[in-house]
Formats: sequence, C-alpha cells, structure tokens
Amino acid sequence: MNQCTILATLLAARRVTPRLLAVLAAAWLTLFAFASVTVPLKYPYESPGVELMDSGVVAGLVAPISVLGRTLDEPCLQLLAAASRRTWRERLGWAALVLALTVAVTALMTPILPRVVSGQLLVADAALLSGVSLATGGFIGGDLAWLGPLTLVGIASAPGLVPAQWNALYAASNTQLAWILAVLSAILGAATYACRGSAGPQWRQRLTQDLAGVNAE
Amino acid sequence: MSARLSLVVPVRTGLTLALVVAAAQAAGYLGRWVEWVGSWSDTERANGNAIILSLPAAVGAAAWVSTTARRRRFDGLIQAASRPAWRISARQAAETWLWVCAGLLVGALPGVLWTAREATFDQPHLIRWLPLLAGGLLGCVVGATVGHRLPPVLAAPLLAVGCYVVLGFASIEAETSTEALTLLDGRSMTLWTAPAWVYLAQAAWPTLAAAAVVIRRAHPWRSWAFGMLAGAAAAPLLYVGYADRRPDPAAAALTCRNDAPGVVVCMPAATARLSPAVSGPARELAMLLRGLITRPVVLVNLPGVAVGKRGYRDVVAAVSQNWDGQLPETAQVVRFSPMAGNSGEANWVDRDLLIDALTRTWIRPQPGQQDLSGKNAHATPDDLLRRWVFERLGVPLDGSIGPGAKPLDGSLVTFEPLADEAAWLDGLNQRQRAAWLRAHRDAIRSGALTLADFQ
Repeated sequence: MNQCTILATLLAARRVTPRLLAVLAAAWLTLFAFASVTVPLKYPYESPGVELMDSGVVAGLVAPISVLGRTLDEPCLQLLAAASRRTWRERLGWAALVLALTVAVTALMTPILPRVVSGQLLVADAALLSGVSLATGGFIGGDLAWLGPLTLVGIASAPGLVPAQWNALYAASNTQLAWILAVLSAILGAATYACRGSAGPQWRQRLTQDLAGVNAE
Repeated sequence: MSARLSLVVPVRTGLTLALVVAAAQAAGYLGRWVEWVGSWSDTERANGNAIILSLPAAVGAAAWVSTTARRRRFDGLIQAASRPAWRISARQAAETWLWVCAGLLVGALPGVLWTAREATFDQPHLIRWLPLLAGGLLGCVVGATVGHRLPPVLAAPLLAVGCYVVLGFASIEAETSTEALTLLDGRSMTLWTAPAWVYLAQAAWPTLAAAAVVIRRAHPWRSWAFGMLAGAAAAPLLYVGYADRRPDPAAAALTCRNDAPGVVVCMPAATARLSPAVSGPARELAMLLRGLITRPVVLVNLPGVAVGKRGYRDVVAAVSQNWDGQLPETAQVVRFSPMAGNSGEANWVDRDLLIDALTRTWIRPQPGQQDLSGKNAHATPDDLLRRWVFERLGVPLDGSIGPGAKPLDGSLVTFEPLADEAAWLDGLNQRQRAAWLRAHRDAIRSGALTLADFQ
C-alpha cells in the first residue's frame, strides 16, 4: 500500500468524509461571518484598545469543535481490540492534529474579527474547548465528545455563576489563566484520548451487556 | 402487556433531558440571585431571562430525540409506518416538550422557594410563566424539525449553539422593543408591573410559530395560507404590547419601619423587607459618628419611578403619611438609594455603597488639591475622616465598591503628609471622639474641615 492509500484509509476510518469537511468548513465560516456582523452591533461604543470576549463567539466555537469531535469515534472496536500494535501513538497523533487544526484555524481567522474581540483569548478558548472535547471523547465516546465543551460553555456563560476574574473563557483581562487552563486541558485531553481511545463503543457494549443481563434475570 | 399509552420518548431519555433543561434553567438565573430573591416580579423575570440557556437546551433535546431513529438506524421503519412521519415527529416534539416543561419547572423551583421564603410583598403570578413554557414549545418543534436535516449526531449541539447565538443577538437592546415582543429583558421589575395580556401575547407568538412549523410540515401547500392568517391574527399583538410596562403603585407605596434605635427607614413596599439591611449599617455609622449625628435619622428611599420629581417637603410629607409612629420633629430626613447610580430601584442593598453614600451626607467632600505634575494629589481632611470611618466599618478603600467611589488607599491621593493627623484621630477614645466631632460638626458638614482642626 502506498502512502496515499494508507492516508485515505486512515481518514475513512476516522469518518473524515467530504461531507464532514464541508460541514466543518461551513461551521467555521458561519461562526466568523456571524461574529463579524454581530459583534460590532453588540459593542458599538467600545473604545479602541478595549478587549473583551463575546458569548456568541465562544458558544460558536463549540460548533466546529463538535464536528471535529466526530472524527474521534473509533467504529471498529473489535479490530482495535485485536490489533497487534499499540494504538496510543496513532490516537495521540490524531488528538494533536485535531488540537492543532482547531488552534490554527481560529488563529488564522482572528484578524477577520472586530478588534474588540480578544484574539489571544479566543485562541486559548479554542484550545481549552478542544482539549475538553478530547477528554470527553475519551470518557464517553466520540459521538458525545461535544457534551464536554457545550457544558463548559454553558456554565461559563451563565450570568453571574462564575466570578468574572475566574471565568477563563471570558476574562479578557486575565488571558494568562485561560492559557494555563488551555495547555492543561490540551495535554490532559490528548493523554486521555490516547490512553482510552473512543470509549463510546466500549461504553455502549458494556451497557448492552448490562441490559442483556437485566433482561435475562 | 404494554400500556395503552406508549411513549415515543422513553422515560429514561425524557428524565435525562428534563434534568439537562432543569440544570440550564437554574444556571440561567441562580448566579445573580441578589437581583431577584425576595421579589416575585424579579424572580419571574429572571426565570424568563434564563431561557437564554434553557431554550438552547430544549432545542438540543428535541433534536436529539428526533434523530434517535437515524442514529440507531431504524428510520426506515418510520418511513414505512402507516402513520405519516410528521405525526410521529409532532408527537416526539410534544412529548419532548412535556419533559422540557418538567425540566423548566424543576429548574425554576429553587428560585420560587427562595423567594417564597423571603418575600413580604406580592405573590406569584402563574400567567407570567406562560412565555417560558411557550418558548420551550417552539424550541422543541424547531429542534425536532430542523434536526431532521442535520447530521444525526451533530444536530443537538449545532442547534443548541445556533439557538444560543441567535438568542444572544436578539437580546441586544431587546428592552427597547415592544413589551409583547421582548423575550429577554434585563431591567429590574421590582417596582414595575405589566398587564396579564402582555404575557399572553408573549406566549402567543412562539405558540403560533410552533403551530406554523407543524402545519408546514404536515401540509406544505397550506403553510402560506396559515402563515398569512397567523400573521394577521398576531398583528394586533404588536400594538397591545407597546409601552405597557408601568410602575406598580402598590409596590412603590412607602412603608416605614423602625428596626434600630434612632433610625427610621422608609422604603417602597416591594423592598421594605430590606429595611434591616439599611438600618443596620446606618446604626453602625451613627454610633461611630456620635457627636456628628445628633438627631434621629429618617432614611427614605423614594425611587424616581415611584414619586417623580418630589421635593424635600414632599418627601417629608410622604414619610409622615406613611409612618404610624411619632416622627420626631428634630429628625433629619435623608434620601438614599439602595444601590447608588441606578435610580434606587434595585432589589438589594449594597452595604458598602450605602455607607459610602451616607458618609458623604454627613462628611461633605472637599475639592482636592493636586501637585504640579498632576500626580500624588494630597488627601483632604474629609478624605482622612472618611478613610478612618471605612477602616472602622470594614468598607474597601480601593474604590472598588462602585462607580464614583473615590479610592482612599493611597493610590489616587497620598495620605503621607497627614500621617500625624491620622495617628491623632486613631488615638482618640470614644468620648473624646464624640466631643471632637460635636465641636467641628458644622465644619465637617459644610466641607470646611482643615488640618488644623485635628488637634
């Protein structure tokens, strides 16, 4: 098998189809186009130099991260279980690719956004949410990898629930905190995914076995 | 034998979704509890605003349920069923909505119980909850309908995120819209009310929209006709809701209480339960500044919304009319706001801001002096006295208590040249201090205190 075939097989196994790529591109473009239009309308009086984070932009990040989360699923559980080589390297590589893609696209599109949105914080948020997505995928499966970032954004966006200075996703004046958490989340998320893989099929299998046991009783 | 009432949404799934919606609803308003606790109108408004989180949760829940067949690969059975697919989808949405309603009510419960425990005015109005439930209905119908067209696993997160983003955008200056169309309104409702039909109108919009979506799916050829009819029927709602939020005279009626010796607090009935929170710090201040404050104090909170532009005499008259006890003739009437800078309508009392405002009443601020560089301005004698008061009462000195508060921690004005005077003030015992304050009362109150007076 040549390299292209191997790559194509890997991408197919990871559910990277033209449709998924189209949905991913649409999610990114919609996010940034929507933010470019709505942010100036939301903050028309912010003086130059003031940086903040818009809740719509942070929540919007969950969309492309959810789409990428689909690629974390490992459908061929039996093959993986019977594999002669350890799979953590491939998983770690894939996790790194997902993280790098998320951070790179966010960083590339940051200049398009209005200046009032803190670019540094947005990139840190993207890394943080992506790391959480990887960890969630490792615990409850790639199908539900979006649950972690969505919950985190929900908690952070709840009015007054998290003190402003500790709200890493929104504290534009404290990007250091966001970066620390982003790095931690990326490392832990990638490690979790590399160790556990997509736990979804295993989790479902255990559930099926449990249910079968209950029915037998 | 299975029950006749077979559910499309399994109980386990429904319970999970209800819990998610309940958590989102609770998270949407509990964080800012200080703004609504104890006031029914604010509690209901806060729960209405929590839809910013619970509606995306509802939309996601409906999308998740509607894509179950595709995720589990039995959608072919639905296509081949004798009943039309739209009826199955509508039933899914309806059942999901019931679970969502349960979640919304459970999520609202902590706030309702808390306010029921604290409130001394008004009562819950069930009709004010209708827009929340109607919003949930629209969310479920939209989630179920649009979810069909999205990738099955991603439909829930994508729709939830989309709903949140759209709601956030729609909330920009929402309070300037007509009341019937204002889904998210961050303004205080403590002293305000809106007629019941405004809430009916707010509920009618999403209900009509949900009906339109279902009918469009069922009979595409009738959708335009229905849309026209629904639009025509709903058009009057645009007018009935305009500018109908109005002050509530019962909520604004002045109520006076004497919870602490020498301090009478008069507040609107809706916030009268906060009187002890006002009289406590005021009493502390009066005790500390004994000698300066020699007469009984009547603290009056008359928000502009309640009384318009009343003069001092009107305020005194209003207090006299609403005070059952004997108002001392020598009492000093002081107007105050529970929260400086928001026209006195707030539903809570900020102790630090209250002390700051009252201190300014008795210790008149003096114009500052600056050196040639514009930095290191010297503290004025009143700064020194107020800093001493703040230190005694535990009020932050860094100006963080609110807008307009002057930092007294040395960051804006320097206290170094006044070190001797500060030490002298600290060294006074209670009796000496009262005597000194009495001797310089007029100077302190008129802003004429000098450094030479600190001896």
